[in-house]
Amino acid sequence: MESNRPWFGRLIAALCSVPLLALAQSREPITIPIITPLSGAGAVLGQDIQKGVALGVEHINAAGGIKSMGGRPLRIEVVDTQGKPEIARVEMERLAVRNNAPMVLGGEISAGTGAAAQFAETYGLPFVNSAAANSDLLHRGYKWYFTEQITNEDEAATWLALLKHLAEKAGGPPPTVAFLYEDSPRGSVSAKLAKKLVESAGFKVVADVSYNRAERNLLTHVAKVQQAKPEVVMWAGYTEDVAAGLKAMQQLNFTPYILGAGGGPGDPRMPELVGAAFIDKVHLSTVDYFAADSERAKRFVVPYTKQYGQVPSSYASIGYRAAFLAKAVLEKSGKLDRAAIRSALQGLNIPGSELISPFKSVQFAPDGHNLGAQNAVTQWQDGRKSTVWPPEIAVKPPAPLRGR
Amino acid sequence: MITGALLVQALISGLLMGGIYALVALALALSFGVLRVLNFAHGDLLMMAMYGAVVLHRWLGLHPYWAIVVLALPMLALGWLMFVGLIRPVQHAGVLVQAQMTLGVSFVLQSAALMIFGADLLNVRTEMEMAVLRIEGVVVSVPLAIGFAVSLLISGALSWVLLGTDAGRRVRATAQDPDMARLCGVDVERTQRWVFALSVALLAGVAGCLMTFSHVVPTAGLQYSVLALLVVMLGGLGDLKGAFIGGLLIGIAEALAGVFLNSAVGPAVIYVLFGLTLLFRPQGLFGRGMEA
Repeated sequence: MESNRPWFGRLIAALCSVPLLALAQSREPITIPIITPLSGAGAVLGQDIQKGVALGVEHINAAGGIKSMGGRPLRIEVVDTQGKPEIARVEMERLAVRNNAPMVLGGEISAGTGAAAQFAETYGLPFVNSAAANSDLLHRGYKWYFTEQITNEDEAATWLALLKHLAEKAGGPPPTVAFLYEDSPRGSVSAKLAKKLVESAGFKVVADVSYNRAERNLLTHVAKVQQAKPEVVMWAGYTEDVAAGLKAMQQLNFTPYILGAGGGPGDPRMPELVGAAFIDKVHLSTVDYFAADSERAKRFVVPYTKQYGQVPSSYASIGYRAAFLAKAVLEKSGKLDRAAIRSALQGLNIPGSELISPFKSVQFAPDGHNLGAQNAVTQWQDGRKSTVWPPEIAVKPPAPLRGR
Repeated sequence: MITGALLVQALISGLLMGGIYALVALALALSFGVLRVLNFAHGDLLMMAMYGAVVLHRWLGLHPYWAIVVLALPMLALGWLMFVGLIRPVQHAGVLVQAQMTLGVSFVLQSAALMIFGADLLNVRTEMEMAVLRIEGVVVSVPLAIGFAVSLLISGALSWVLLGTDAGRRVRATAQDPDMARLCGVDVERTQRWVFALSVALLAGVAGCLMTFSHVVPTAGLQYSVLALLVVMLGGLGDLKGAFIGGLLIGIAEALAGVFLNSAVGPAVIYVLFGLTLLFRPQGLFGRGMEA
């Protein structure tokens, strides 16, 4: 049937629909995906990141969304990789090809991040990592991979700086050192780099013991370290293996000074899993990218603690950081074009005062690493985690190496 | 340097841990021997019992060893229901259908645990957790030693039931030849139902022992399923004695690998051991059919 609506009626309707459509589009959320293991063996990481992301997005949207895009709200799609590189690759393909994602955020472990970065490079998709610390990726000449996170190299340098400081304060002969680490790229690369630095600085490495994260009983591995009688143990591991290893240390009555790295030693659940008295006794310390007791972290720590009933883990801080990094990039690019987003990333400069991490800034070098990435070292003291290094952000001095 | 003390330490820890592996595998071997259905959700049922021990400790302050007593009955009921609802309908279907069914149960249990308990590591802190016996410089973990003793006790009780009672004879008859057992008046389906339920209930014992020194996450079950399958195949499918000795061997091999090898090669040792066994004795170390 032919319409009998007058032509001017149609015109008015069409004219009205243009601003309405524009208004609808202006309120449509901007969706940016983040890949992370929500299930599988690494689910502790992903589940915490998800909580951090949710809070970050809530804060961003409450403050007016992405202003350079008309205040459009931000939505972060949390994509489960199960911690498996092959799933990370498949999900990246879906996001790049089917969903046409303008950029992808990374909250994935090192192995999955490697697979995702390779894929992002092939498809010319900006991929911004906030979690994985493996520095190997930075030496591959990738143009679309950016990492805000500290790297194994940063970690090793911080380990050495603190070790030197502790040795100087203690006086006497330099402490002997043992390395204990889980054997994924995360732990083994950290240990390898640190061992090289520590040996070249004149410290004697008396043991180098690695283990698989899936091992259920670490008593034998820890006994091997104990046999070498190190004064300091440098330990890179995740929560489950560090908890198992600390229990083994307790059973073996082995109490070295522990300088840790990776999510495990700094996990806020550690006193509950192992016992606060023992982790105080070994001065369990972690080279960390998050210091919950710092002033700048309060805007995240206070609402998070209120909402979830626990102090956020370093993993949770990754989610919050990633959300705000996405906001900063989108504000700068002003459009959802991959090339524009890459340019925005290259020109980004977020000052440290605007961050919740101890970083000096977020500013990417041509190889994609964050020039402003700076570690903190947190140490368990009296059942609480305190920032003890570097001196400019420390709230307490580190426990002495000797005379404990 | 590898010293004698370190070697003895590894042997003892491996043997004790192996006792717990043996108990996990024993339950799987029992159900496979009688039903001829390989339950890939075995480890996930154990994971559920481990969460049960955590819940009982947090809500009622129950020690994990008491949790064994409390959890045994619900686990028995769960096993019973699982047999009636899921295993029985596919019992005479192909192996692939059975595998799909039990793998499906495994995924459902994992997802349910993730939704209910989250991904955090949960454990039970007890005074006994760190208790050790020091013998000539060798540290023996008390919870591991108790776990080993519980494993011996349960295995002994199981052997007695299978060898010395009428019910045990019915179970062995069903395992050896279900048709002949039926002709002799054995209610085969009832026997299978009870055996499957019992194999699930046994996991309450393992869970109680494990939770005195270990932790649980939703993916823990997969590790135990793989381990139990390895042990059961190493010992000989359906062979209880083989499953027990296989468990001890895996525990010791794992611990010795930690002493002699560094890095990722360590865990591969048990797979090498498994591969070699299959190569030279495809029926497993003791694979002579169902024996108590």
